Amino acid sequence: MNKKKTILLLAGIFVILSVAAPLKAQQTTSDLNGTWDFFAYGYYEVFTTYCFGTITVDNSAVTGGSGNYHSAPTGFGGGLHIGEDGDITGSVFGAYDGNSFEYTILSGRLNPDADTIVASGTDQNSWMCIYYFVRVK
Amino acid sequence: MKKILTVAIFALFSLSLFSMAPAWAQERFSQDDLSGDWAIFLYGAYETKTEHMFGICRVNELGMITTGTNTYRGIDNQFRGGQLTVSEDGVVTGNIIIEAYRIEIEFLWSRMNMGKTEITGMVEGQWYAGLIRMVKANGTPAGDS
Repeated sequence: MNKKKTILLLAGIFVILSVAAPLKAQQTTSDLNGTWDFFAYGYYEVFTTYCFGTITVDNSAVTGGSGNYHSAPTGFGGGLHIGEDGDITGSVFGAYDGNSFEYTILSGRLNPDADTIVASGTDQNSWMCIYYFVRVK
Repeated sequence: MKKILTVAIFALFSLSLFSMAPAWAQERFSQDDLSGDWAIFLYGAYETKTEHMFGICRVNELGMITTGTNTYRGIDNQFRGGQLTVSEDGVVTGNIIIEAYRIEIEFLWSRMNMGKTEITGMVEGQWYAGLIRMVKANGTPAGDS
């Protein structure tokens, strides 16, 4: 087999493997970059907390966004990070009506399509919460 | 020959890069994406009251809830209507009406995922806000089943 045929064969194998086998690359913090819808919901004894809106993530930082904390309008800050084992930690915080809130993400996972994160954590009152992040773009 | 080989390798390499692009890279949404059977899960809690509902509803290509059954706070009943709308960028709005107490579940802010198989959102139930998740019952987007 000459050199040209060898190169062509290797290129073909590369393409076949790329298409046929799902990539198992490790998820990194850059996978979180982009715009996400954020949903938080928690309940403890008789207390409820919830929040929703759109956040922008850039290099681990929540750089902006807007939504509602309960029925009050709010902006967002915070940060998200993916560890070597794929565990997502961080926080999303904001201010409303002269008060502030902070949702701590204790553990989360990004799905293989990288369009949804499910996570668990607590709010500023230590009330237990579930979080969803759904990719917008 | 050398030129043809170079072009072929470049084309194959480009194809391989395309296959690695995330599925969400250029996704847009249409009303048709809502059609099909959706499993619904709702949970909310406010003081001593709990919103809890699960079931399967059928949504037509116009986004109207046509049939389906659910269990709301332990009561087996039917879906009684409602309509959902999805915007071009995936925001889902609308309502779902169930038989029990004729409750209207109003969508406050919801988003369809890029795979078009899930809707996640915040809704207003009988008493208070709740978290809703809708998952395509057959696991595939509309038109793929």
